[in-house]
Parts: sequence; C-alpha cells; structure tokens
Amino acid sequence: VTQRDWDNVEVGERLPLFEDVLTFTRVASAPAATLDWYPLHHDPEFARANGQPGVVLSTVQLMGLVDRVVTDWAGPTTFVRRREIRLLHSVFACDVLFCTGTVTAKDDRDLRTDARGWVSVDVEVKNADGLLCCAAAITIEIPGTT
Amino acid sequence: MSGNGLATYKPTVGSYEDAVSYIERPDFERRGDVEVNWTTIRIFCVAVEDGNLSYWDSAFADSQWGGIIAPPAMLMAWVARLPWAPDGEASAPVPLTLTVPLPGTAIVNISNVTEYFAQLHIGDHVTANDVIESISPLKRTAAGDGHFVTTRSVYTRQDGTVVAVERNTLLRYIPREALA
Repeated sequence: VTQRDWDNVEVGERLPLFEDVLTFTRVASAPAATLDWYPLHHDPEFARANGQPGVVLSTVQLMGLVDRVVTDWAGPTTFVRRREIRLLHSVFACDVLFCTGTVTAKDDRDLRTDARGWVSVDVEVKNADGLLCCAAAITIEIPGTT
Repeated sequence: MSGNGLATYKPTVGSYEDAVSYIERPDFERRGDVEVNWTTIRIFCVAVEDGNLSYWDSAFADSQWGGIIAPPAMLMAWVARLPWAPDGEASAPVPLTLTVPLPGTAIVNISNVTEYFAQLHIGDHVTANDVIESISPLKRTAAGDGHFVTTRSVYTRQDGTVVAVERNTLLRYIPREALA
C-alpha cells in the first residue's frame, strides 16, 4: 500500500498525468450506482433531442473521477475533506480525458493532535481537443509525522 | 421512445419574483431507497475505475476506517429513489431546483462545493435536507438567458451526525434557439 506522508508533499508538486477512456460500460455504470436516471446521462436519443452530440456525464461521475486522480496519488488512507468542481464544458461518453493535478497548499492544523495534515490539490480535466471540461480544487487529509 | 418518466424533469415555469420567495424555505427532505452497501459502491468504482483499497479490501478498510467506506462522491446515491416500484408508484421526487418557478425551461449544472465531516460505512442510512440558498437576477450566458440557482443540502447519518454539506449551483435558462 503506497500512502503519501504529509511531511513529504511539496507545494507545487505535480500529480502524474491521468488518461481516462470513458467507455459506454463505465458511463452506464454511473446511473446504475447513483440512481441518477436523468436520461441525458444514459440515453443517446434523449441527448441528441436536447442538442447534445451524445450522452453527457453526470456531475457525480466527474466528482468521482477527480477524487480518484487525487486519492490514487495520495493513497488509500486519504480522507477527502472538501471538493469544489466547476463544470466548464460537457464531457461525453467515449471521450478520452486527460487529468492533471498540482499541489497548491499544505495546512498543519491537525498535525499535532491527530498526526494528520491537510493538502489542497487543483485538478484540471481536458478532453482530446484540449478543451478544459472541469476544474476542481480538492482538500484532503493524510497522515503526517511532523 | 425514451420511456423515462421525463415529466419528472420538467421545470416549473414562473417569474423571478415568484422564485425569490422559495429562498431558505425549509425542509425539502430526501431519503433513499438503498442504504450504504458494498455492491453499489463497487458498481460506482467500475464507473470511475477507482481501485482504492478503502472501497475494495475489507482487511485494509477495517484497520483504517473500521470497515469499508463509500466514495465521497456517492452521497447522492444514498438519498436517491429507485425509478420503479411494484405498485407502479415510482416516487422519485422532483429535484428542488426544478420546482422553483423561473422562466428557464432548460438546466445545466455549473458548480458544486461539498465539505465532508465523516465517512459513510456499509449499513448507514442518510437523509438530505435541501434549501434554495440563492437565486441570481437574470444573466446573459452563452447557452441563453437564465438564473443561477444555488441549493444547500445537509446530509445526516442515522445517528444524527452531519456527514456533509453540499452547495450546488445550476443555471435555469431559456435556450437561445427557443428565442429565435
């Protein structure tokens, strides 16, 4: 189990580039799990009738994707404390996404009491055309020893 | 034919003046049909391709969190209703932002800020209480003219612990092509 330690995280550190292929199986799994059956998220005919080229990913699925970018890097002992996500351009089934992340801040507020520190990470999700689809700011709590 | 009970997603049409009276009107409560459970967690992890041991490995999760936890993004799943019931009364309530009377007939989600205070474990039951926090005056956007509607949702576990507070902003707009 690879777990990042708060002490060794540097502000400005870049997360590994994450490339994500949104197969129909994955896009269809999201409504099955969340029960968000708004047809835009699973019905191509409905999506086209509403002016979209195809099925549009739900906000919840995008939140899961950006969380994973951060927790894959930080490790499974991570507690996601806060996530802000701005939706700038629709993400569609079959899109390929490129996710990047940068550490923006560290906070030692709970380090002495809980041996856990807070880290803030900005995540950007772009599609194959290079369009910024969503931008997230995620604050996590991870173990530390200082 | 998209037989999906689309009427559920039809916004109430009205004026901004009518809508403002909905701000901070209390207690739109959502309770789910499914409690926090491992099968649903794993289906969500397939959607996201998330292999986090906290969601997959009970030995790891037991030692770290006292049991398997739910991905934080799944909050909505635990207060959602099934789209069908044996008696035919599919009871998914109309989302609060669609019940607010506004000119906009179309919706697009803009942003979401969620703060988490506790983890959710298998077997937990969650309740959400929603209020409309703010409604912007009419704004001109690329999609069309509309109002930004921010909803505040407080998610509470069965023991009364507030597990998360979510602020979601969406745009209720009149599509440009509808004006042409």
